[in-house]
Amino acid sequence: MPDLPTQQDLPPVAVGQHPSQQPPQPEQPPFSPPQPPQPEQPQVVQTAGDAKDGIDKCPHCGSSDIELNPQTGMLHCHYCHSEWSAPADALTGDVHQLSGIVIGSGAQDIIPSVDVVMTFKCSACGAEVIVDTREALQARCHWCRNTLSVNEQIPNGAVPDVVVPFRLTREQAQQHIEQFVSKRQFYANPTFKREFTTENIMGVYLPYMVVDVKGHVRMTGQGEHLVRRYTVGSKENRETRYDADLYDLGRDFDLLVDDLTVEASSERLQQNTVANSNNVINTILPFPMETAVQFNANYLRGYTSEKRDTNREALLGLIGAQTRDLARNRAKATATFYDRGIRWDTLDLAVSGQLWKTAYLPVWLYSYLQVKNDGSRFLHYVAVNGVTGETMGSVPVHKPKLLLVSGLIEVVGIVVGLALILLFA
Amino acid sequence: MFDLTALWPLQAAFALFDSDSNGGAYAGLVLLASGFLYYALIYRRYRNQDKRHRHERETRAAIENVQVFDQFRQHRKGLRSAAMVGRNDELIEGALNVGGEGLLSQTLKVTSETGIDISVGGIRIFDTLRKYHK
Repeated sequence: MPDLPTQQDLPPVAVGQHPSQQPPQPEQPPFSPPQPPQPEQPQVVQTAGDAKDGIDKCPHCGSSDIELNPQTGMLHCHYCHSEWSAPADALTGDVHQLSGIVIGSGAQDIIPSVDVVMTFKCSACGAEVIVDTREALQARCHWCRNTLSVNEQIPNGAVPDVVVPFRLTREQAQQHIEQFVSKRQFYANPTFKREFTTENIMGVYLPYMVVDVKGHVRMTGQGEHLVRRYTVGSKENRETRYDADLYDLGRDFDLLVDDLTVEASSERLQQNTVANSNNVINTILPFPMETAVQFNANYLRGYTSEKRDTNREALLGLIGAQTRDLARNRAKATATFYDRGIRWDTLDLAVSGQLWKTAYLPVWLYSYLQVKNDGSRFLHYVAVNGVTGETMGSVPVHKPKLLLVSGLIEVVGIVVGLALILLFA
Repeated sequence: MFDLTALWPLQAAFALFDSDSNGGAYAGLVLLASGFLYYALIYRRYRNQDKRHRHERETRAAIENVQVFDQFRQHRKGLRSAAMVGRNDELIEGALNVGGEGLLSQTLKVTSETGIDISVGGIRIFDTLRKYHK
C-alpha cells in the first residue's frame, strides 16, 4: 500500500438521493492520476511493557505457578488464587487518529540469524534452562521447579504484541466439534468414523497480523438500473429481455478499517483446498480484539503455540487486496439504486495511516490425518474459535457411497428430466 | 440415516412448474444433472472447501465524508442478460482459499434465457432457484 494518490474533491451529492434528482454534473468525474509512492519509515511502539524473561512471579505472592483461567480470561495464581491481567493499551486507539505507519514492537521483521532456542539462567537456583521458542515459550527449571517464561520481544517472531486468551474450555470445544461432526455422519469416511474422538483436541495459539487502516478511496465505474423486464417472441421461442438505464458513477470517501486480521504463519497462509484444509481455520475469524491483553507467556501454559514466520512486507499485498474488498463492499451501500450491478473501472486507495500488531489468537483444533488408497495423505481439521465458539471443519468423505447414491439420483433424474423436457418443450 | 434434507434441490426443480410455462422444461434440464449436483452439494457440506473468513463483511470498517457522483449516460433496450455485463461489485480480491477437488473443480456453467446459472462446482443454481420460486 505505498501508493498515496492525492485527493481531489468530487462534486458533493447527498448519499441515497435518486440520480435523476441530482444537479447536472460534468460527464466524467475529475479524478487525478495517482502520485509517486512516498517512502516512509515505520514508527515502532513498544508493547512488551516491563516484561522480562525468566521467572514470572505472581504480583501478590511471588509464586510462578500461574495459568490462564478460561472462565475469566485472566491469569490465575494456583498458590494464592488471585487473578489479574494487563490490558493491551499500547496499540489501541481511534483509527481516525492514525497517521503514517505504526507497528508494534512484536511485529518487527524477523531476523533469521536470531536464535529460536534460548538459554536462561534460573534466577532462583542458578541452573541453565533451555526454551525452544518454536514449540513453547515456557520451561520448568528441572532443579527448583520454577517456571521460566519468554516475554521479551526479540526479532525471532516468538513473542507477539498481544494475546487473546482462551475463553472456551476444552469441554465446550469438544461439544462444538462433536456437534459439527455428528451432522456429517452418513457420508463420512468409515475409518474416520471409527477413529473419531475429541479426546486429543489441542488448544493452539496461532499467530496473526492485525491491521488498522485509515485511507481515502476514490472509485469510478458504471452502474445499471432495471427499467423494464419483458418477454418477446412466439410461444415456442420466447425470450426475456431487459431495458436498463446506464449511469457513470463516482464514489469518494474516507475508509476506516479496524482489526483486519490475516495469518502470520506461512503454512496457514497456504489455503489451497486441494492440498490442505487450512481454509477452515481461516473461516473461524474474526476474534474479538477488544479482549486482547498484553502478552504474557503464562497465557500459553497448557496450550501450544505456533511461531510467526511472516513479516509485514509479505502481507502488504494481501492487506491491500482485503482493504479494497472492504471499500467495494461498503460502497455498495451508497449505490443500492443500481440493481443490475456495477462495474468499477478504477479504485484508488490512498492510505494515510496504518497500524500493525501481531497477536496470538486462540483456536481449538481437532486434526485427522487421512491416508488415501493411493498412499497420499491429507490433514483434515475441525477448528473452534477459542472465544466465540464459531466452528468449521473438513470431514473426509466416503466417496464410493456418495457416488453410488449420486448415481441413483442421476438415473432417476435423467428419466424424469427427459420426460419433462419432451412434455413441455 | 439417509440425508433426506439434501434432496431439496430436486424439490426446488419441481417448484419451477409453478413459475413459468417453460418451467417444466427447465426443471427437466436441472434433473438431467441432478446426480452431479447432489454429489457437489454433499461434498461441499462435508469438506467445506468453499468456506473462508468473509473479511469484506466481518471486519469492522466504516466510511465517512462520502461524496457521490451519478450521471445518467444512456438508456439501453432489449438487453438479454439479467445482470449488467462485466459487473464486479461483488469481486473479492483478498480470498485465500483456492483450488477444488474432483467434480468441484469441473464447473459446468449454463446460462439459460431466464438467467438461471447452473454450476456443478457451486451452489449458484440452488440460490437462483430459491429466488425464482419466491
